[in-house]
Amino acid sequence: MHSTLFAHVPVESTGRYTLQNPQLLKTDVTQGSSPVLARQGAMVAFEGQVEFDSQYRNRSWRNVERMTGEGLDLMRCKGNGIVYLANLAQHLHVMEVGRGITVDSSYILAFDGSLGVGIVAVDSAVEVAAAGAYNLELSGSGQVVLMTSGEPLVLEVGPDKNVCVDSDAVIAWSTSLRTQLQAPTSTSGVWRRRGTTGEGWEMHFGGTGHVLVQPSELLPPQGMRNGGVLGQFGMRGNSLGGSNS
Amino acid sequence: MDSQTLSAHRAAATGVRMSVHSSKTLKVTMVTGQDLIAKAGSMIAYDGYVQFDGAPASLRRSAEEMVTGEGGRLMLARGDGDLYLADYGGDILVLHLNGEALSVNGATLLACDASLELAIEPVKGLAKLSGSGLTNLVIKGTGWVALVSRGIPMALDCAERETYVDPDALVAWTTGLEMKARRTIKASALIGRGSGEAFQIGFKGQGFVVVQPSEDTGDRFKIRG
Repeated sequence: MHSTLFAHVPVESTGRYTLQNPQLLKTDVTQGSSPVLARQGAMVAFEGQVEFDSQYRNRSWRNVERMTGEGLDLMRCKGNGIVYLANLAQHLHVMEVGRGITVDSSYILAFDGSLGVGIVAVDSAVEVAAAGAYNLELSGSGQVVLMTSGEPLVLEVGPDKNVCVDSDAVIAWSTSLRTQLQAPTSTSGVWRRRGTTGEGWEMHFGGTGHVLVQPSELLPPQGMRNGGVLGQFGMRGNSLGGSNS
Repeated sequence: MDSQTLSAHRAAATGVRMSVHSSKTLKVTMVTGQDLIAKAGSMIAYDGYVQFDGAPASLRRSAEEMVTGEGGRLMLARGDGDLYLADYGGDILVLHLNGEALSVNGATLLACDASLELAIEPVKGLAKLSGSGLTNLVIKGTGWVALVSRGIPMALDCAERETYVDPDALVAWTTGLEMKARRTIKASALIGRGSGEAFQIGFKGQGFVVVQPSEDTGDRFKIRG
């Protein structure tokens, strides 16, 4: 048997997280002291002895998640082996948390268990599609794997740069950035959010850091699991929750 | 018209029966006498003279496939020319079988030579699992097979150590592997603390198993049921 398929054999892994290809993550759970926390149901294959356990969340944390819609059901991957993680063929990005990342919970695939996680309210809390009113803030030293629908764009924000992004397309940004929501529509279109230009809320960033934007203004694909075509366009149910189980 | 970027997407002339154009389109060189079985509705373009018929009687005949849903949606293409097939932007995989057998998840088969032998076989030793289903399509013989994967696939070698696969992400595997179901449901799942990974299929032996980076089992943009 010969095939183009054999160009897709597992790559050599270097660290804890290695991208097998832009859409598939190879995770060596043997490395590192903290467990790997991954979105529930994201495992596509594994080798060796690996256990998957639910990540325990206490009642008050669950209440916060329910109220904010930033629910992220995680599982702990422990053991000795290699786990392959993916979610609906979205593009994956391994990044160091560094000085903190604010990200919508529906775009997280996995992160180190050693990281600190908090739910924060985004300034001028308006329910907007991708960047909801609430986001997750990751801090500490470790790595996080983010997902985007399509290949993303990273914008650098500096003191002399005026960066505005569509709030439906923004995925994550440096925690140190100041955010502000603004609507580009004029008063005549105020009753229709997407007024005349088709552009709704945009997010303005100030300070110094980076912003990650995806080339899609649809809701995260896991929301359309039960939503059919309507879900694809974010019109079915509450797709903001990060559940993928 | 300035079409420099567009002309980069011209289909390259290839001498082989099946080739992949820009990773998401399958190009098949059709020759009279070498018919092609393809997923119904997957044709996006053709040049030359190509005709399409319903699935061949030998495939349609068996009532079991109606029950299992495997192989139920196939068409037969014949004629001369170049045929282009695609499946909702899925990545295309082309394999050439040389007397070997390949077991595929029925929904991932895009096209194969009509000279290959298709059989619907129950998966041995496995209970009903999602994605994998009870039955699978076994393709045997000598010829070309094209599969579709949601996202860039990966081939895992099962010879070194046991490989476990989520049935929703499974695309194909070589026959002759030892398979076993593995349940990881614990008591904690009963009180709402499951890990989201309930079943895996373990593979062991000489051969490989192909997985896709997506657990989306339905057609992504399918409107009709």
